Amino acid sequence: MEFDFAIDGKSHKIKLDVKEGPFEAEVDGKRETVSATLIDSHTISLFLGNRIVTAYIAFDGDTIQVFIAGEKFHIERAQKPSFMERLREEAGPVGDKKVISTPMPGQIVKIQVKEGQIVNPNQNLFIVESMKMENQIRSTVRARIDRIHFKDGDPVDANVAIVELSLVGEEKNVQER
Amino acid sequence: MLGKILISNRGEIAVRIIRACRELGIPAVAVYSDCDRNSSHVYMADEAVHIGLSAPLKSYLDMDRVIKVAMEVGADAIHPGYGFLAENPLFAKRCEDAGLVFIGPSPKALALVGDKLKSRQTMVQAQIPIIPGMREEGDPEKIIEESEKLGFPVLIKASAGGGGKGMRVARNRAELKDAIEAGMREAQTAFGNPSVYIEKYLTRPRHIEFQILADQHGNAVHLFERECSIQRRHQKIVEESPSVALDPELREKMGATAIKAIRASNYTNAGTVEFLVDEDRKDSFYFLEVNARVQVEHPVTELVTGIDIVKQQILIASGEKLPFTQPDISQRGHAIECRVYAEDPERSFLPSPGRIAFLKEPFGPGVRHDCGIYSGWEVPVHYDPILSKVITWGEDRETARIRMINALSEYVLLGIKTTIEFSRALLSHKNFIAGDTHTDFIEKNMSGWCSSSGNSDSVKVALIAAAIAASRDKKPAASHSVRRREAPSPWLTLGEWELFGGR
Repeated sequence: MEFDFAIDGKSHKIKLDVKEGPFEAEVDGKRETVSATLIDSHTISLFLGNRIVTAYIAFDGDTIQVFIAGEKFHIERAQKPSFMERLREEAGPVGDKKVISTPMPGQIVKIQVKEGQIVNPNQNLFIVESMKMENQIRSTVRARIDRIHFKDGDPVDANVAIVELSLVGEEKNVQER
Repeated sequence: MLGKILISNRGEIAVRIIRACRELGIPAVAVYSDCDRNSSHVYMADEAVHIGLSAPLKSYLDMDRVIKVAMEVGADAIHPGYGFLAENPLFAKRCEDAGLVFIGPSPKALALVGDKLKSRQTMVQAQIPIIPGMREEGDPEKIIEESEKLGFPVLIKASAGGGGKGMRVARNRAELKDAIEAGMREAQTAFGNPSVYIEKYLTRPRHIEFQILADQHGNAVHLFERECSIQRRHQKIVEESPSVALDPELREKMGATAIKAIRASNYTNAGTVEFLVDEDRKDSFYFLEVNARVQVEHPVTELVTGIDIVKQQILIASGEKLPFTQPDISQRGHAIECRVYAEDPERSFLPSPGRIAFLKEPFGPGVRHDCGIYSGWEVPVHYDPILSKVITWGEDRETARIRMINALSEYVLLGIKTTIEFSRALLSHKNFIAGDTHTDFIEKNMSGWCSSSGNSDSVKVALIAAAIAASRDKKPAASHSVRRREAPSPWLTLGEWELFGGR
């Protein structure tokens, strides 16, 4: 079986021939002899060379979380578009459009802009409250507010588009260059 | 001794209180909201009663409902934990009126220390040093005027506050209006009271607090200090005891001042007197506030003094005398606590609610884990993001520190983002090792922190493990179970339709 994974945006190719006893795994062209024991549905014990490594694994949407000796790896299945790529697709084919989404589920406390308004980098857009803390969401670009999808007090899920923007002026030129 | 205690809280602190009740042989009653139906504190209690919707105002902050439930189950006391109703004098009075013991200070003492401005006035009268700032409440215009007089930066604080809620720094006049508005909104949400005031913002102090126990017979002791300087969003994340900044002389002076502050407030039960110690004038310290509750960080004190603070709270509320005096109490060894929050440290500590896919708790010599979570539990969006606390103890600071790093390295929590890796990196930082811990520690040393992707060898192992897991993920589970059976089962040749009688 072959897998295209990515960690921190870097792609990796893995080939695996899982069978009883030791088997060959190939990571980015380098072969490795491995044997694996499934301890439970989240735990795999791997025997590589002369050492045993325990890996804890959980699936989180398109991401596979792997924990090994205190380090957590977020491994993306590279064949699927990343979250940011999906957002870009949702924003349409034109490069000067942006979508600002909620980073987590919560409640919109206050929308601080109006449709048609020009906003500058670091300007407040909206406040979302989650887990009893207010989180200020700011614009990172100079842009015009095209659409606002929610109003004060609305509950929202994670990764939902709240504000759509179009880049204006220098920002647009920079993006186009 | 109290006969039955209702715990008007949730999460790790409710679990902690249930454990103390068990040790004392007192039945514990849990209450839960809609989204907490499957929470640990519900399973652990002797009884559990549903009290309302997930929104705190409709459940854990609903005084009428909590008191009614306590009466119905025959409880004679309520332990409020921290947060929610813990420092609400009205709730304490309502308990008293209903004939229930409120496990905490009297309503009068609670009203005094809970109102940060009244508390400041009391401390001035008792000749305890306070940070310059407002001495009475004011509207936003008054706050702006006072800020100009005081000079920037200023700290906006909730009058009824605690736990960093409603707290904002304004570094200049332009930032002030937004900071006041946000502080008032957050204070209203967290405490039901939007009042805020300002203090001069000290840029690089240490946050050092003294744990107090005071009984109803006039006895009060301190259990020494905790250093809680390491904070994000004005909320503590790492605490330790003792503080490396105190020498015996300053410790004694601050301890005596803490007792003086408690006596000036006619305070009983467990509480904490918080101070800021100025970096530039090491022997000068300022009273901040009294936290009139058991605190998140109480375990570090328990580990260095050997005194169970939650049990003492219950015993004091039962009318018992403190079983020790100040000379009986000593500090032994060093303890460190790391709070585990459902937050993403790589994205400014944004909340990260969701399902815990897998949990493996840390164990080992000198390791304590206070938690209210388990594998498969859904972390709700309605409450504080604190999930658990890891506390380590060692004969000295370095032993406690290494034990903590090892414990965090064994702590597997998958499915949501947490502060575990961040805390591990923080404890490995040279400035933490050197004890150079101030309230700006994270801003100064850890901003822009990213979790390490490991060396190429660990990346390779992680990729192989992910590939093995993904290969299993694609196969139906039944095919594995068929292969593993020694003899074929006739039942496996039947589909779901036949097995369930063709329904």
